[in-house]
Amino acid sequence: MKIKTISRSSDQYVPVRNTQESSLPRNLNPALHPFERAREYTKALTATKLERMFAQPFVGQLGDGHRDGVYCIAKNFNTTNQVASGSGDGIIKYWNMTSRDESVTFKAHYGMVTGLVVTPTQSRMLSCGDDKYIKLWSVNHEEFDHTFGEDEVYNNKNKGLVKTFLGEHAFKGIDHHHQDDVFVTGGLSIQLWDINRSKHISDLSWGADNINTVKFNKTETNIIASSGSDNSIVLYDIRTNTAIQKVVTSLRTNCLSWNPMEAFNFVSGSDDHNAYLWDMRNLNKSINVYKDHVAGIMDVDFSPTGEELVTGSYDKTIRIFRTREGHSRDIYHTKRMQRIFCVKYTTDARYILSGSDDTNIRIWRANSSERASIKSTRQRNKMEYDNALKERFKHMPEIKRISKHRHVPKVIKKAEEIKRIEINSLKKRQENDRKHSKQGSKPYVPERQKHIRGTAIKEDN
Amino acid sequence: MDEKDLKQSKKSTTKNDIVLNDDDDVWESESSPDEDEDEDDESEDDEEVDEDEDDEEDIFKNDSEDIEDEDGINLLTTVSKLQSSLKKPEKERRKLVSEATDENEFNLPTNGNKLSLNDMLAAVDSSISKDAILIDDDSKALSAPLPKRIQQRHDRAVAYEITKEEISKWEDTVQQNRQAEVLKFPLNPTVKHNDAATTFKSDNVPTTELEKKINDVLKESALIDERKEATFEEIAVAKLSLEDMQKRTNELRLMRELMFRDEKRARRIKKIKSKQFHKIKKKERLRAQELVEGSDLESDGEDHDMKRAQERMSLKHKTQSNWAKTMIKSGMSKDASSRAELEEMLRQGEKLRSKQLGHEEGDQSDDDVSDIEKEYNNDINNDSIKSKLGKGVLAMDFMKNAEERNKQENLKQLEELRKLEMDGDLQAFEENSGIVNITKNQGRRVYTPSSSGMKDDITQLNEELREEIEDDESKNLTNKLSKKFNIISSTVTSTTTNSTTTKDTIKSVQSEVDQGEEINPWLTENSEPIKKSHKITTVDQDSSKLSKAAAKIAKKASKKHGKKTGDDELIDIDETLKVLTTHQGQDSENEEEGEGISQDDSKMFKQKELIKEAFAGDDVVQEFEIEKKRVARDEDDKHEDVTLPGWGDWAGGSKKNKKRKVILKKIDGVVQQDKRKDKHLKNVIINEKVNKKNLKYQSSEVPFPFESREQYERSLRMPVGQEWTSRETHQKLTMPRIITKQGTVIDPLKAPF
Repeated sequence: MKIKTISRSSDQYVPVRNTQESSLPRNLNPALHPFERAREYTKALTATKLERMFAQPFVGQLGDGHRDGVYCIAKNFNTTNQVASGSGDGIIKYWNMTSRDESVTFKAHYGMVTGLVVTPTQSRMLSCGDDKYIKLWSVNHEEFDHTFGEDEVYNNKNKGLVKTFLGEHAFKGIDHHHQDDVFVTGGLSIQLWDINRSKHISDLSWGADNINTVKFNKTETNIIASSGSDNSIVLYDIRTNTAIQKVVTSLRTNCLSWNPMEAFNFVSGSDDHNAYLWDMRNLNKSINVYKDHVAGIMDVDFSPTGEELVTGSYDKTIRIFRTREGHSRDIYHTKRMQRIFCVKYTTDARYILSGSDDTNIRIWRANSSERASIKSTRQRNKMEYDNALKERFKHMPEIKRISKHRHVPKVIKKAEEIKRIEINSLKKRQENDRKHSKQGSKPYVPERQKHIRGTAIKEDN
Repeated sequence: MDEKDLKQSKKSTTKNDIVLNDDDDVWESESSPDEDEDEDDESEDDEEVDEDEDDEEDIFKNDSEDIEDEDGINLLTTVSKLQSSLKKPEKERRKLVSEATDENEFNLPTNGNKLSLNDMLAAVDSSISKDAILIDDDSKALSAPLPKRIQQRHDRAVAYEITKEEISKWEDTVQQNRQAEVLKFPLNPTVKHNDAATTFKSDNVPTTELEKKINDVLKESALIDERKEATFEEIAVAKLSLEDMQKRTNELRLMRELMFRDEKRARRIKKIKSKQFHKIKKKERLRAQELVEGSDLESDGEDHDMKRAQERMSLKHKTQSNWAKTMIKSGMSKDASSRAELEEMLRQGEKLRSKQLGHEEGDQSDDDVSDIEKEYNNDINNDSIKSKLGKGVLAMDFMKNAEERNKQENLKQLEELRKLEMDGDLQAFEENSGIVNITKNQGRRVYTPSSSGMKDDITQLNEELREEIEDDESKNLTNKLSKKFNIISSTVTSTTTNSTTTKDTIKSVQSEVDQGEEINPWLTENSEPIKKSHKITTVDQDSSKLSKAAAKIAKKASKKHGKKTGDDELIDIDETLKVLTTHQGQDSENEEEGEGISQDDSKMFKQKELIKEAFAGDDVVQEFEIEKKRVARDEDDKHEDVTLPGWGDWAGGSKKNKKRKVILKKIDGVVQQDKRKDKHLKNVIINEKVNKKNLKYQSSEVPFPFESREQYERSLRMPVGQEWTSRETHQKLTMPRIITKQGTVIDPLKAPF
C-alpha cells in the first residue's frame, strides 16, 4: 500500500546556513493537537518526577578538609573557584575548587580562627583570631617559599605572612570594604582599620557587649551591619563615622548577609531557628521570615543573584530559600555532616560550600538536579520548556506533592513534629489568653514583628 | 561640623527673636561693638560667634520689624532712626579708614560726636536706654551643652536619616530588577572586542637559513609575487556588483549544499545492509545507464565492446553459470528475488541474442502480434521447464489454476489483439477487460468502494467512448445504415474512407436519429440495465477516511457523466417539491385550525384538559420530591447494627432476661441530611459526591499570587508548547527568569559613578 504524504523537499530551497538542519514543518491546526492542557500537565508531571530523580546535590569535598572543625569560609570575589577557610586549630587554607585542592596552608593563630576574609584588591587573606592578632597573608606561591609539608605548617608560621596587626582584645568576625583598603573587626568593640596602618582608625562601638559578626554592604559600600551578644543588630556608616541604628531581637543573631542586588536589604540568621529579611530603612519589622530549621541558624549567605539564600544550621542541615518565599526550596544533608558553621554561595551562584564541625568543606549544587555539562540547544530548550511547565502547574496537588517531597533525617523530622506541637500549644494558649482578657489589651502581633524587642531610633511606622 | 550646623539652624530662629526684643535701638548697639566683645570674650567663645552672625543678620531685618514693634512712637523719631540706621554703616566705614590717630582703648572713634556720660551709661543702665544689654534683668544665660550620650543620640538619628536617603536612591533600580521578566547575570557585562584579527600580522619574514635560501631562490626566479596573490581575489570580486555577488554566493552555497546532501545520502545508502535493496538499486542504475546508452546510440563503440566482453566474461546471460544452475537445481528459483535475478539474466541473454541477429534494441516495444505469440510460445516452453523445477508452491493446485487462468486471459488478449490488427480499433472498447482494469485474480473479491466504483466508471466511460465513435462513424452513410440495423459490425472500421460529399444527407438522418434519442431520455435510461444503485451518502468530519474517499470518487464520477446525474437530481427536486407543496397545504390547514381555537376560549380549556388528560399518568413533581428524599437518605450517614447475638451471654439454660446492648457502627455517607446544600432549595438536587479521580487535577484552593479562580484559570489557559504556539512565543514563554553564565563572577550591584 502506498501512503501519500505531503512532503516538501529540502532540495528545492536553500537553507540559511548549511549547518542548519532542515526544520520539520509543523501544522499549527489546533484540531490536530487536542488536549493541550492535559498533555502539558502530563509533561509537567514527568518533568517534576525527572527532576527529583536527577536530584543529586552533593558534589564532593575540598581536599582532605581541616584537622578541626571549619568555622569560617571566605570567598574571593574576583574568581569563581577560589575560597579560603579557617578552622578551630588556627589553621587557614586557601583552596582551588577546580582541582579541589588546597593551594596554601598557614598556621595563622593560636586557638580558633574567628574571622577570615579575602581582600578584594590583591586577593590576600586577612584572618583574625582569639589571640588578639589580625594577620594578612599572601596566597601567591611566588612571594614565599612554599615547600614545607603539612606537618611543618605548625612550625612555619611566618612564611607568607605579610603583616600583623595587634589588637587590644580578642577578635570576632572580620570583613573588608568592597573597594577601599579598609576593614572592620568585631569583638569587644567594633573597630575600623586601615590596611596600611598598624592601629585602628576609629572605634564605632555602641553599647558594651561583644560583637560577633560584622559585614560590609557590597553595594552601598560604606555601611556596616553587625550583630552582637546582646541580641542586637547594629548598623554603622563609616562616612559619618557613627553607628546609626540598632534593633534588639528576642534571641541572638548569629550571622548576617547583605543582599548584593538590593542595597538596603539584609538577612539575619537567628538562634530562634528562623532567618529574617530586613530593610535597613525600617527595622521595626522584618520583611520576610524564613522558617523551616529546627535549630539555630549559624550562617546565612545570599546568592550573588540576590534571588536565593542559603542557611546552615546547628541541626546539621543546609536549606535553600527563595528570597521572596517563606519556606525552604530544598534541604541538603548527609549522614556524616555535623553542625554547620559556615555556608557560602560561590560567586557564579552555581554551587554552595559548607563548613562543618566534622572538619570537612563540602561542595553542593545550588540546584540539585542541574548538571554543569554543556548542553545542546535542543536539550536546553527542552529543559527550559520543562521548567516553564513545572512553574505553571506547580499548584496541582500531585506535582506539588512530588516536588516538595524530601527524605529528611529522622531526627529532624521528629524535631519538626515536636516544634509544631509546641508552637501550636503556644498559639492556643495565647488565643485563650486573648479570649479571657479585655478586648484589645492583647493585640495580635504579626509574625514579622514578634521577634523584635525594639529599635534605638523610634519611627512612626 | 554637621552637628554644629544643625544646632545653629535649630536655634537660629529663637535667637533672632530674643535679639529683636532686646534691641530697640540698633545703631546704638552697633556703635559699641568693642565693648560688647570685651565682655563676651570672657564668657563664651561659641556664643560670641553666634551672636555676631545674628547681629549681622539683624541689620537687614530690623528696619521693617522695628516699625511693627513700636507703633506708638512718633513719626519724627522713627524717620530719624531709619535714616541713621541706613546711613550709619557707610559713614562709619569711611571714618574708620580716614582715622589718623593710633587705635587703642583710650582713643576710640567718636563718629564725629562728642562722647557724653549718658552715652557711656546707656550701654550699662537700662533705665537710660532700653538697649542696655550688659546689665539686663531679662537676658538669659545660654544653655549648657548636651551630655555626650544625648548628643551622640542626636547625631545618630541624623546620620541614619542621611544614610536612609542615600540608600533609597537604589529603590528604582531594585524595583526594576524585581519586575524584570528576564535577568541576565552578570548584569553589565564588559564587552570584550576580539581584536586579534585586526592586530594579527603573519610574519612572512624567513627566519631560518633554509627558509632564507628558498625565499631567495623564489625571488630570483620571480615565482613569488605577494601582490599577485593578494589582488587576485580582490579583482575577481571587485568587478561583481553586490547583487551578482550575492547571487554567486547563493549559487555556491546551493552547490555546496547539494553536494553535501548527496554525500550524506550516499553515506546513508551505503549503510543499508539489505542485499535486495542494493540489487534493486543496481538494476536501476543499470537501466539508467542503458537509457543513456540508448540515447547515445552506441556512439562510443569501444566502450560498448568492453561492456560486451565483460558480459560475456561474466556469463550473465546464460543459465549455464554455476550460480544459475544451483539455483535451478535447489529450487531456489521460487524465491522471488532470485527468480527475478534469473529472469534478468535470461532477458539479458535474449537481448544479446537479438543483437547478434541484427535487431535493434528499441524494436521490441513495437513488436507485431506474431512476435508476442512467439514469446508466448516460448513461455509455454518455459512452463514446461518450470514444471520440472520442483514441487514448491508453484506445484500446488491453486497456483496451477491461477496460471491456467492467466494463460486463458493471455490467449484471449492475444485473440483480441489479432482482431484489432485485422479490424481496426473499435473492438478494443467492446469489452472492458481490454483496458486498464484487468482483474488479475478472479478469486479475490474487492471490497473497497474505490476499485469497484472505478470499474463501473470505466465501463461507463467505455460505453460513452464507443457511442462517440459510433456517432462519428454514423456520419458515414454506410455506417448510418448499419447502425439503424443495430449492427456493430467488424466491417465498419475497414471502410473508414471518409465521405465528405455526402455530408448534407447524413446530417438530416443524423438529426433524425438524435431526435429519436432525445424524445425520451428516461426511456433510454430505463431501457439500459441499471448497473449500480446511487446511494446518497453524507460525508462529515466524523465519517471515516474510507467513506470520504468513496464520496470523492463518486463525485468525480458524477462529474464525468454529469448529464445523467443531473437528470437524477432533477427528478429528486421535483419529488421534494411535491412533498413540500403537500406539506404546505397541511400547514395552512393547521393554521386555520389554530385561529379557530384562539377565537374560542372554551376550546382552550379543553386544550388544557386535554394536556392534563394526556399527562395524567406521570406526576413529575411528586416523583421529583420522592427522588430528592431518596438521594438525601442514600447519601446520609448510616448506622449498622453489629451486635452479635449471644455475645457476652452465658451458655446454658439459666437465661436471664437482661437488656441487650445494641452496638451501632456508624458508616459515613456523602453528606448528612441536614447539612445538604439543597435542603432549602426547591426543585433542585445538588450532587455532593466528590469525584476522587478529578481531585488529582484540581487545585484545592486559589494559589497565592492569584486573587480569583478566574485569574488562575486564565494563567493556565494558553499552552506553552511548540505544538500550540509559534516559535517566538514559545521561546518567550519558556525563557527562564534568571540566566547565569557558567564560570562568570556575578558582581554585586555597583553604583555607575
